[in-house]
Amino acid sequence: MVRDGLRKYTFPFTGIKNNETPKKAVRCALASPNVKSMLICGPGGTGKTVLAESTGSLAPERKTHVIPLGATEEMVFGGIDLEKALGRGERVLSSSILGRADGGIVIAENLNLMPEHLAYKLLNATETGSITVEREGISATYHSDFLLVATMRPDEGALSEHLLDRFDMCVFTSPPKDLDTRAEVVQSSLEFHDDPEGFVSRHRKEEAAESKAIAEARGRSRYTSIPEGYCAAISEVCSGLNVAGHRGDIAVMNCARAFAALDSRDVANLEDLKDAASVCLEHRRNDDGAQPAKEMPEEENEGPGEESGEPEGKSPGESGEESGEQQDGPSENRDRECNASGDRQETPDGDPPPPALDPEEEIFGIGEAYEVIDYLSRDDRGPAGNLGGKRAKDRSDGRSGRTIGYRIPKGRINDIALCASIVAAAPHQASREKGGLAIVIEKGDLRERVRERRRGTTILFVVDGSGSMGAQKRMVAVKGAILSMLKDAYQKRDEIGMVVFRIDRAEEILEPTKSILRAYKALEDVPTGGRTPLIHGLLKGHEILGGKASKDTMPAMVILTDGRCNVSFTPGKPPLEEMLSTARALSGTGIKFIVIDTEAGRLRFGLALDLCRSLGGTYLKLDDLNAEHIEKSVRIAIKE
Amino acid sequence: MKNHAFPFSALVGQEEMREALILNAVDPRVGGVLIRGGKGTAKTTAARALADLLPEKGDGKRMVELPLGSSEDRVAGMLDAEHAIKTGEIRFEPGILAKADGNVLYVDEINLLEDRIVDLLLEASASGVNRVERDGISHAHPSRFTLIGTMNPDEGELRPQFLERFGMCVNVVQETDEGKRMEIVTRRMDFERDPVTFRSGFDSEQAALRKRIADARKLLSGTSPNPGVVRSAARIVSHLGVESCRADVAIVRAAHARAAFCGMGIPAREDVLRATRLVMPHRIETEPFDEDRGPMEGFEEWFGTV
Amino acid sequence: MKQKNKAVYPFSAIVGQENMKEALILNTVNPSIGGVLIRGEKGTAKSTAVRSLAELLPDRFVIDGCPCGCAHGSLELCPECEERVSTGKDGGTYVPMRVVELPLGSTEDRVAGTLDIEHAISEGRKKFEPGILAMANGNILYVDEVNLLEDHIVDLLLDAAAMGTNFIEREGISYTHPSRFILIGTMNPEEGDLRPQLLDRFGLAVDVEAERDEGRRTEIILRRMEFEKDPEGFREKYSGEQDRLRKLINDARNILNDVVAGADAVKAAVRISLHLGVDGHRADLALIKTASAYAATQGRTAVVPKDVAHVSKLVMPHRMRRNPFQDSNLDTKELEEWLEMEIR
Repeated sequence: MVRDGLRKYTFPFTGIKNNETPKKAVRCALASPNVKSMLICGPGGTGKTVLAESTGSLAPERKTHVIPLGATEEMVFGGIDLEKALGRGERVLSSSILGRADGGIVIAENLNLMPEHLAYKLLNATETGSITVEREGISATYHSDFLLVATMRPDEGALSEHLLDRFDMCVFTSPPKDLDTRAEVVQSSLEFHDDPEGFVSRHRKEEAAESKAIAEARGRSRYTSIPEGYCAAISEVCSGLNVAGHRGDIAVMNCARAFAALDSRDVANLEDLKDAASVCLEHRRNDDGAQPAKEMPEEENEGPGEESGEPEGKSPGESGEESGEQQDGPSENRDRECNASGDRQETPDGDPPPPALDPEEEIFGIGEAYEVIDYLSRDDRGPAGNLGGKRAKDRSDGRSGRTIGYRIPKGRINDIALCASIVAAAPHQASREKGGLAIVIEKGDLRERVRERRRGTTILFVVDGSGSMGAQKRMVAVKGAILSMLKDAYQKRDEIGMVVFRIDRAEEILEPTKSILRAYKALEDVPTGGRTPLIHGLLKGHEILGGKASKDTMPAMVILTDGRCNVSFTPGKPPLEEMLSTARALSGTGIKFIVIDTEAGRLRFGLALDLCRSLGGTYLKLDDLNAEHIEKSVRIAIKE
Repeated sequence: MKNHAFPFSALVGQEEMREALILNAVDPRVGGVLIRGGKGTAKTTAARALADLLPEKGDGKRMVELPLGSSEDRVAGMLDAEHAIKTGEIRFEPGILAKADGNVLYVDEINLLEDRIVDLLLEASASGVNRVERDGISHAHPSRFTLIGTMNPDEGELRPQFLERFGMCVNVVQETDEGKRMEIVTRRMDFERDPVTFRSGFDSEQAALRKRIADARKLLSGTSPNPGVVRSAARIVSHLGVESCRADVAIVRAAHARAAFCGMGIPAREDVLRATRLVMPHRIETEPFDEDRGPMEGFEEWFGTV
Repeated sequence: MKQKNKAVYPFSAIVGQENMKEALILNTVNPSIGGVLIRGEKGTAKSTAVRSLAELLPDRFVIDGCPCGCAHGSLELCPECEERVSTGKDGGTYVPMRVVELPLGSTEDRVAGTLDIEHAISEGRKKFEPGILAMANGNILYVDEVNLLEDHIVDLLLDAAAMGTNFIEREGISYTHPSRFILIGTMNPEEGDLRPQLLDRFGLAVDVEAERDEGRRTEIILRRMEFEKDPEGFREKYSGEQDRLRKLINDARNILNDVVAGADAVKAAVRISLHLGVDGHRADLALIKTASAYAATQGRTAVVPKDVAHVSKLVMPHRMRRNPFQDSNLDTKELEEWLEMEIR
């Protein structure tokens, strides 16, 4: 850990008993002067932090700096020096984390929770080694060459592909595979915490040898070369994996040289290349990940079970949004997940006995979940853009919400940010009449807070439970879609409700709640069978959401149906006509509508599209929801 | 304001919750507890009552509360504006995370906490350090605390990353036994009528409990984790299909704490069992879309066969 | 319409709405009941009733000069008052209990209190500027259209209502003061539900309906017109009735501390809760407290099971699991009969 006088002892690198591949990557990153960034991904409690911090223990001559999550931009990159401004009225660049980090190591934990622009700037700095500051009247550029070690838990949100591509290396931690290792890992963790001094001193010799080897390799790797033919091979591997750009190729070469140097060789061999590819390309690959690419090496030289620590499927960018699967990473666990949902389809288990079913009624299992597209902010059909924009956040005008920054107030000031005002007033102090105070704040210095308020979204699923949904087990797919959207809503912390319409009425089977567990249970029991009272569903949905549209909440109605309405609300009226007129009446009510067309088979009526047009909503086919499908179809479209 | 909390020993029922709280008082390394439950299940009362049982510290503080509407700068600490205006000096003004160091940090309705505040808690509890980099302040101070949270799951769940930071989790259900319920109500009424007299009625019980906790702490300080227990923990956690090694660590700590509370140096089978019951529930449910299958159900039989 | 001089419609002149009036009076007798939520459509005299309650409120003995209205002799005091007590400067004074209103759209700082910025900038000293939660201490906190309150304000209310204390940790201010209030909310259920958490904090709930009886309707309108024509004269007419009510409340308050709920009353409360399948024992407590207040208004110091059954119509409606197909109206008669059978 960091030598900032708070915690004296860092868990020694040589005390780490598992995560062999990530450990190799750490040695490589430290041994190469050209590797500038490394990302450690993995589920909670699998040793990300320990690995990240152990870099400091391995390279004691390089100082370690930490960027906490709450760090503001000027503290990371530099801003005005407050003390100097107050003392002498000068505008001088302040000391900053990156300013101090030249030649050192920077640890940024939970990078995916950091504001995105900050993460971008940070990774840009690793590539260019130079930082430019333009703020508060300061204009400066300085040099800082450091190794960034970042960590993230994919289930807390993904990193964008662009950001991911900036990382030279990316490794995945996993829990210990066998019981002995597990017990050993736990034992050493307990020992370290109870007696850090003893633990560290027990590893001192080993640790010193290791860090000496790395320092030597770092010197040597400058002169290590790669045989000519290999460069072409690297390019081939990269294009085989559909890696975009050249960052991947370069990273592989740099890492291969470092691996060679760690092995006291001056020329890299095939083994080095394979090792390098495994830590540099996994997060960049863009193939569908079904099979490991032909050149992707099997791990040979590591302990048993280690290769399963390597994800074989998707890039972390993709998996980041599938909280269920990526947690596991290794494919065996993914199988477990599949089995689980397979079981569900056969028997909707759970303690309460299944409710008595109508003869024509069926309960279908829940199809497998996937990552959904951002369906709520799509506005590709219809004129319903009025509520558009990003879903979760809004700049708030009032004094509520959390502070995300400061600004010079316009008009009446009512939400003053004192600290920011002091910063603004600081440079002018030399020329001001003090009157007993050290800092005089004038009106022009005042800054007010910019707050951001989460606009809670209430999503109501209005589900067609009629008999036509039972055809070809369509309901399984629909339930799978809802489950996927539930997962998505969970990550975005929305409120969810559910209405099912069938036979002759619409029923609210789940009042809007944030408890996903309850939503899941309700979903499980959704029955199918009977006619299609779609209008009832629309009206019920409006009844529930109608009062919710306000500045605090954005209500959205997701209607899953084939649109084949055949029950009228007002007796005697033709159902389809009534459906469309009801839909038109609902279109201006401040509710955002998304119609998901479940129609399948050869004979299609396209009624859901008509419904959607009348509602002024967003139209999607069931398959469109699946982000993976979309990505694939886009990719195919580009290629052709 | 002074402490006029309901005495811990006057609580009725809810054995698991009480046990979890006591084990945290015995050994803070257990890692805190999350108490989930419906309304009116005395979870808040119990959490607050724990303050009285914690060992006395120099500054008299034993439990620090983090109120819901707290701003980021008050939690992490900030530029001391008063000092800056008066003297022109830049100085750090410590916040709640500084106060919480070495104490119990209690958050009621923890599931309603803003994301940014959660991030701060996560970071501090992962590293034991609070780092502030804002408003011209670059400061770091130790912040090791036992996190205790209470929540009503109807109002939303915790983020998985946050959930996992809790050593233990207890799901409290309401008391349905008529006699116990009467006892709860009567005690509560008596307490509200005259808290001082009510508390003094439980003085000796409180003192006995405090002593037992102190003894357990003493006993614990001389023991180191038993390798056999470590192995059972690893075995249990793998059996239950949980990845995080934090689970194993928490089971070992909790089993040892429980043994010590019973005056034993080495945990018995029962201690490991009870520890598992407290440590595992939220780790099994982390994936909110899993069935409410409760592998915990068959677990005890399984454990009996090993 | 706004009256210049506080000519308030007298509480005792309100026609009908017995449950609402009873709930308000019982809360005044025993503030620890936890307030009342009044649900009903527009024009059901909800707000009138709450505002006119102010005139019936007793006096409080508070520490002189405290902006948080700390009660004299209380164990819960704000930091300034603790200072005053320890230095012996805790002179007391009588002030009438008030109805403090929390308007919709109030900002967080106004509700919880905030840093006095002016003071900070001009004096370089941080000072706490008390908010509505401080003013409400020891008083009635009234929220009209409570269901439309913004979420983060509800959070503040919940915290304070749960603990009787307002903790402020914001804008560089760290401050704690007592905030015990009788929470009275009114709402029109058609405009949206209340968050369950907040709903649960209300000790009592009543559903008011517009008067259907023609004779009474006429009476309401007549009285209203009479009041508007000559408020003073109207108030004069009801002053005797008002005095009687005030005395009733005062007498009940005086004996409340002696009121005892025996085992049979507690048992009745627990039975009712279990019978109605209500979560948590907050309901049990509210039943006992309300029954105690009710017994006190009857001049009795012993709570009998019948009292518990009587007040259950005020305590239970909002605590029962919501079933849209069932009318939530509680049949007190039936409950009383059931209880009789159970206990015998």
